[in-house]
Amino acid sequence: MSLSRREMMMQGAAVAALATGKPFSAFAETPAKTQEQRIKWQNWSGGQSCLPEARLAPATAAEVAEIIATSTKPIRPVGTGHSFTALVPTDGTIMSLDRLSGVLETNDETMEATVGAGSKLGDLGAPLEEKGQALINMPDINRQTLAGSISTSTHGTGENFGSLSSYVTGLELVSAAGETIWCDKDQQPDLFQAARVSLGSLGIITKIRLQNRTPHRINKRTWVVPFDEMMEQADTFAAENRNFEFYYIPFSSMCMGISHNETDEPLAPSSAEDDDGVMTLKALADYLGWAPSLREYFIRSALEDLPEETFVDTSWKVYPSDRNVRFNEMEYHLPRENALAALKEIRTLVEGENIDLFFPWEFRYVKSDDIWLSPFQGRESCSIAIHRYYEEDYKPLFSAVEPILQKHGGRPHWGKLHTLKAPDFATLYPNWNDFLTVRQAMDPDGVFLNDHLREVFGLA
Amino acid sequence: MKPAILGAKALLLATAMGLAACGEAPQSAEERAAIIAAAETRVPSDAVLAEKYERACQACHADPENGAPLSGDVRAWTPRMEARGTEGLLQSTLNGFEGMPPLGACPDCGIDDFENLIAFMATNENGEEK
Ligand SMILES: Cc1cc2nc3c(=O)[nH]c(=O)nc-3n(C[C@H](O)[C@H](O)[C@H](O)COP(=O)(O)OP(=O)(O)OC[C@H]3O[C@@H](n4cnc5c(N)ncnc54)[C@H](O)[C@@H]3O)c2cc1C
Repeated sequence: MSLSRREMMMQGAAVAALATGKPFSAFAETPAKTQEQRIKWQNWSGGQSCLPEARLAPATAAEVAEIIATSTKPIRPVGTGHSFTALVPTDGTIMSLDRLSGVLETNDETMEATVGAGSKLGDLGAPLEEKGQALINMPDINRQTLAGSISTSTHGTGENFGSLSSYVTGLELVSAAGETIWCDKDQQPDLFQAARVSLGSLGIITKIRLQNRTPHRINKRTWVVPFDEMMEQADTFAAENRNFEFYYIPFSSMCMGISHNETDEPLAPSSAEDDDGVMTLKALADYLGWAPSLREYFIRSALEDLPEETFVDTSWKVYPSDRNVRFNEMEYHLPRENALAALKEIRTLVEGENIDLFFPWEFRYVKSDDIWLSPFQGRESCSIAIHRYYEEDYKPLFSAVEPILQKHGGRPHWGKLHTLKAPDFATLYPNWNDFLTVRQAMDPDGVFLNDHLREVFGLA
Repeated sequence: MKPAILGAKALLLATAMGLAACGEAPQSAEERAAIIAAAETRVPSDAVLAEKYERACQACHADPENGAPLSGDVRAWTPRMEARGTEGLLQSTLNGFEGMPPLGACPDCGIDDFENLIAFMATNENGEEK
């Protein structure tokens, strides 16, 4: 029995048409739907859901403005529903920018591209490459939309790379008043500072200009390292590789390092991955949860058999993986100097109390930025992510671990589960009040506010 | 000692992973290639549905590497239809299933659209279905 390296990881599991000119058909349907007639919206994990009055996909900025003026409130923009927090649910209108996508314009000199806000990250690789560009860094998956990603400061790993929001050099949004506004560092600079990470609370983002770079090839390497050794070496690995992250597999005392480095080696794509690895870990947890040392033995000996693995491909094909096994997730971004200590503490807690858990934990490095609501603002950071199988109750685990992440100065990922409220954010974010001022000016009547956002902003 | 433990480990993991082979009649390479070629080009005749299909379904259901049943591959759809029926497949679309997100990646589709899209993908040009 050999477990591939990728199996042990937590993987589970078209450029959309540009504006087609077809009207947002569902919108024309009045009168209001009864509860029974509505179709449930839910996020990727199934943990958040709602019965919206309308689900609409406008094809132009003018249609976006018309929906804002006339559709049932509150109006919540949605990407592909990959956030775990209740950012999207509403009884009113869910608006998707699925039909406002694709690469709209590129600038060869500045290496910037303007793209439709509803573009899925996975649909940007090929058309950008055709124009001689590539995203500078990418997260674990490519199913999210660009607008959804920047709205929560979605990040990849690499001590020299910020979140996707930090590569935004300008954006267009349609405001609650129906105005189409462009902002960048010179034009409406306060709005730009607020909008780059704004949880869909300032308006509907329709276009995003991104700083890109030239297409490049990446060599991806994965290898197994005992936990204690990883604690000693992680910072060195982070300094020596373009991108470095590691997973800790609970109850195994083993970590898996992953590095990405730019290369001109010939293409050597990875073989097809299969989805069973994480479910194997689940089965081991189910069978051997009562005997942690036996479980550790099985997982560790399986991991020790794994040879180091490398492959080479175009960057946008290397970064994303599939996640077909659903989960709920909590992720905090910690000051870099505290993060390894926090991870050790979490391990002591979970394994010491034999908390039933099989999903690997992910540890990443992210560069600081200056965006008002970016969790990476003003500090070099490391992210710690803990996952729970979607059918299991995540609350006991997350509430046991969250105090450790908070104690070490963590700021939660806006799209991942947490229990913080406005007063906590006011302490954690130096520009919290600046953001609230811009939000109040942009949306005084709360057109874009749902219950979750009211709580986050202290308006409940 | 080690081989015995490895054997036990293999058995445990194999059981855990539910390794099961499905017994399907073999399909020739030509048949497979024709199904893939058809999946890559076919779209519903209704223009509004076609736009939704191209936007939401085609990327996965016309990609042989993806693992989703190919559009028009009656052989792949038949066992699914028999086991779950249109209602079951509709529920999988609404709730998400494996790689497919809730609402099948079509944020503005209504129930009729989903049913029509499933029916389109589960049939082929020869009028075969289920
Ligand atoms: C399997 C999986 C893997 C993930 N991997 C990573 C990872 O590696 N790194 C990471 O940082 N995160 C990761 N995430 C989290 C995910 O990237 C974020 O939650 C992201 O915000 C989801 O984007 P989305 O397109 O699904 O947007 P949604 O979740 O639908 O929406 C997110 C926010 O964006 C807003 N929004 C969407 N579109 C617009 C618009 N046009 N205008 C204004 N606001 C808008 C919404 O209102 C909402 O506030 C992962 C999530 C999952 C489920």
